[in-house]
Amino acid sequence: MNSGVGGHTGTKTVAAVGTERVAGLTRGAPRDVVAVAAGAVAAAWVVVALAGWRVLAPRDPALQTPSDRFARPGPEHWLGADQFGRDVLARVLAGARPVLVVAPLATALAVIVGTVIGLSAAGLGGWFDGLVMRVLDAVTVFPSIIAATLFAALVGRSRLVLILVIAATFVPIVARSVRAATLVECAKPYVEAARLRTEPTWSLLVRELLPNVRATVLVEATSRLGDAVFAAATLSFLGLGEPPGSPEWGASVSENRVWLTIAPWTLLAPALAIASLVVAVALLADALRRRVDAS
Amino acid sequence: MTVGSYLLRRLAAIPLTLLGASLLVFAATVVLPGNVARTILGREASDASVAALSAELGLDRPLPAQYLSWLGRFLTGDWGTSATLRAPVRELVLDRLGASMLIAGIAFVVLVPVALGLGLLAGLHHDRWPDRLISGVALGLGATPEFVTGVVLLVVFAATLHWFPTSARLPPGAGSLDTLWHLTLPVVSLVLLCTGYVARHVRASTVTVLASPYVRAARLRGMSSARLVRTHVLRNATVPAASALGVQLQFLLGGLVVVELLFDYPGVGALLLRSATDKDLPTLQACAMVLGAAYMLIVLAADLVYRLLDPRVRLGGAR
Amino acid sequence: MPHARRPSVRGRRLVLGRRAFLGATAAAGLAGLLTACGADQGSPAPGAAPAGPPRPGGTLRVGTRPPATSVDPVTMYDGSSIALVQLVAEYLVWLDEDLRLQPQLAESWTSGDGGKRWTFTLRRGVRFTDGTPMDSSAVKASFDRLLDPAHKSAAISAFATILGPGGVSAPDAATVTFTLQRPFAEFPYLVSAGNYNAVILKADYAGDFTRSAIGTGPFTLTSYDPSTGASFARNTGYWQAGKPYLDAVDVHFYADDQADLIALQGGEIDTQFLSVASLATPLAGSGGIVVDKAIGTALTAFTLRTDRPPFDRKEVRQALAYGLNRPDVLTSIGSGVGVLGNDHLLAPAFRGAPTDLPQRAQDRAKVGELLAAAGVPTLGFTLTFDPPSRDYAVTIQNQLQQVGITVELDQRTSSDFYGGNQATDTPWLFTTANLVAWAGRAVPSQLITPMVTSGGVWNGSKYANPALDRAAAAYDAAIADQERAAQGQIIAQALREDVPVIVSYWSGTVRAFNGATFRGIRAHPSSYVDFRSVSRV
Repeated sequence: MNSGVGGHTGTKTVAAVGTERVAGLTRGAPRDVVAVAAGAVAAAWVVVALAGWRVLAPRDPALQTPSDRFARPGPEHWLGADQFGRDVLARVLAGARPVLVVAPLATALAVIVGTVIGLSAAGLGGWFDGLVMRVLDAVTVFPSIIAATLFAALVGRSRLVLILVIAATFVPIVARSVRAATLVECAKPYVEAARLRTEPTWSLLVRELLPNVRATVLVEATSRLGDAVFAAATLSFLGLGEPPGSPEWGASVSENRVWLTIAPWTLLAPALAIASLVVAVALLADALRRRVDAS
Repeated sequence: MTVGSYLLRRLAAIPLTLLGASLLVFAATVVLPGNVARTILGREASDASVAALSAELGLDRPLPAQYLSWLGRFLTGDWGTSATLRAPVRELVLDRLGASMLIAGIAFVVLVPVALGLGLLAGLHHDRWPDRLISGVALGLGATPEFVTGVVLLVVFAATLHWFPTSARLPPGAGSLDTLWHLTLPVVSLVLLCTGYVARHVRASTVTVLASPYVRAARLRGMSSARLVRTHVLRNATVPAASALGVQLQFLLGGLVVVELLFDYPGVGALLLRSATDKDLPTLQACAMVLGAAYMLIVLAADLVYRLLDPRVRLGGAR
Repeated sequence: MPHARRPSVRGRRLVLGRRAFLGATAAAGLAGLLTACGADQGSPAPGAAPAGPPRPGGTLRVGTRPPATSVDPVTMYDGSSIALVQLVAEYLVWLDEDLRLQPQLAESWTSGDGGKRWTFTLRRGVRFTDGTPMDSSAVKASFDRLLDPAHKSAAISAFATILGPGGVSAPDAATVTFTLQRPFAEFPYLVSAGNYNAVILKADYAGDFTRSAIGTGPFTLTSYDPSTGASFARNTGYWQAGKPYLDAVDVHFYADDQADLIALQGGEIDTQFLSVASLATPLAGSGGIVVDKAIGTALTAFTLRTDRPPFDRKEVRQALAYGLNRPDVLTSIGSGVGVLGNDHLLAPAFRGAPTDLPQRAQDRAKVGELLAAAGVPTLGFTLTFDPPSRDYAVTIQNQLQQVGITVELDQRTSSDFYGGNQATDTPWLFTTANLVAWAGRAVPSQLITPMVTSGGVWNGSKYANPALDRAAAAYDAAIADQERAAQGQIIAQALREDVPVIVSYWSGTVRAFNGATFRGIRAHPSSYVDFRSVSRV
């Protein structure tokens, strides 16, 4: 619990208050074993994605050695080999990068755009707010996966399309959330005080309100990140994602479905990789949310 | 604001929104090259043949004309004919929609008691092992994409153990038991996806209710746990679940595309994907419209139920 | 992922601790268990059918991809539609698993006028399923329909420069005569199943095949749903006495090849129309699955545009040809089902194919020499293809990378790849390097004429070699085997030398089926379907 906020608003700037609030979220973190473990898993995948398979994997994930077709896990191939004799471990490690490029970029885009929209809608109020809410209602016609599937199938497969499509489906969610949090802030005295000071609106939004909804934005970001990994993996499972031959996990799961009875490692490895990453991100998002609610 | 006027306002917004969506879908179909007439005749047909068929299908008219003509006919109930399947679109799509709603409906019916039950269980035993087990597994499964759980279910229980069919497609004239047997695996995939979130909500509100003064006082007066649960906890802890269920509905519907593809089920999600890839415009638009309408109506219904159950919330939203 | 709204979690934290740990351990244990489970690849297939006369009866369940479009014999081109039609309708001449002509609706045929006139004698006593006799007027109407541009059949290009509208006549009820525009020694192949649109239908066929499928074939169509499947029943009036043995055939459509095979593994279907070699072959032996193999004349043509850089130099094209490891391609992509290709279009399975040309093999040194000779020390190019050729494209990229050639992959959707204008911009005929899959053909002319003759209708390489054009025309007209072989040799050598198209292997085909329940199911080079001799075990 942050005790710093209540008695010091008179002497600290609200920005400092906001920072304290965020810092307060991480205080006491080491006691939450699960969140730490989840953070470690997610961080591990990030390291793998950044370092690239060259650093960690013994073989080139694209190298086909037909003599090793469906090799079982063993000293030659730690996680076995697939239909083309490609090393499964290398492919799983290499598969981290596509997903960890698309998902964070899509999330960042969605969070930035959504925060701008939500913040300004709540801060400006009036007809603008009404218009924004109407538009947000209007664009939630389809569940996000269906919208993403539909437009990715129509517009074509490329990383850029994937990022834009996923981001577009998240913007309304982020905007609503940030708007709600901002409205809560707007009812507080410091906002009234700022208005009485005739502080310009943009300054009010950026300097006063934004820092105080930072926690909400952070929670949204981590939640959307998990959703983005989920969406990217699902779209590539449906064949709408990465280019062919890419070791992306969703596509690997789809391509190797039929081998479960004779070469289960080709299917299980990418499936477990996806599961571990999404669960880790979900646990992190959950831990963060609990702290925000607790503060 | 009364329930009635709120309902009307929301309902009135739906057709306009669908119109906008149809325009967007149409615009997206022209981004990628590819002509459905070529798909029908194959690559070895001559350009002349393709051009002739295109003209017959009205594909050579200017785009706004194509869109408006589709719109006009759609609104009067003529949803056109699928160019690739040569079947009337309306029957096709409505059949498929019914099939999808069957799976979604069964999944929902299973989801409610399972999620409520697990959430209550977790809440009643909070911080002991049943709670940790349920909460942990719920979070994990809820985060895992349904194609991962679905693939494991499919290949383990169907392809290897043969306990369930690999295809969820219902044979003609299937009885209820046969239907449930075929649909078990896809329904389980969807339920696993959605249970966690709802269960955790229910758990949280159960914990809150149990800590409330009323419950404490009732316990002090000697009321048994079982009676407490039945009369008080159940009602108060489950109402917030309505909003959680509403949120999950979008994942239930969204999960249909993957589940229908994985389990070979002829639903509207699979048709949407196929018609988008084939650029079969009448079918695609019809699928998009019915899915969009279904989704918005479901969201509206969930919203209404929640607001009706929780009298503290005023309709129209707080400003 | 279900976190669109913040839940109001107050009070206790959710501490998972031990649970998460146990969960991870369980997952690892599961992986280990399933690895062990993959062990039973060993048990040999039931294989050879037990002896004894075929037992009549039974329903054969077949899986396949959904037809690309509505099924119409006149315009069909995809494997599923063709197989569905072949259960119900028949050809003048059938093409069997060894690519030999077998009389079907025609009993015999003769040629005259140096190969420009062909006369077919029809089988008597054959009736359509509605009782109408199958006679020369039905045959003439069927071919007139195929040749009429208004019906938009792909058969028009199969007959181009050989047979034109008005070339079919029916002197009497049991005789049909074809008068050709030029001598064509292998004409019977063009009216056989090798020209898959050439099924014989009633003269008044109006284009609604799935509603009233009337043919002379062993089965009749009893129901059809474009998204789920079709059902067939035995044609009790079939002209071959005693056949077919099966009572019925049920066809199920599956969204993709994986789902189809999973259904076979799960026992929901008994066989497939279109088995994919790379997916089916590894499964042979497990769970009673038998995979029958057939020789192949199918190929994926790796076409290079000879009229623009970088492939306007023959040396560069040859460099690619020497850069590929063909046995590895055959193993990885073809699952070992097929034979190596030698960059010409006369597959070993064709009569008169050359036998003494040295087999091209990977030679890294030569790649370097050739590229240096062409003045292209580092080569990079874009390879365009559609989803069915994806695995091959990835393999090519991988293999050429090892000899220092950079390949960028450009996958298009099928409708994009084959869309556009055939005369100016369609990707499959105009991109610098592309992969095009060709189903098995009956005779090499069906590949040579359109693909590599000057101005050939599907000449994606824009190859123009007058000597080859002359040899191709002579090949078509050659009645004597020796003459045909000689012309074939000339064609093969020219193609092998100039490499407008790289052919790394000729794929055989496979058909997977459940050997414990049915016998008599055979693979076919063109994935055609002949279930007349299929019976229960």
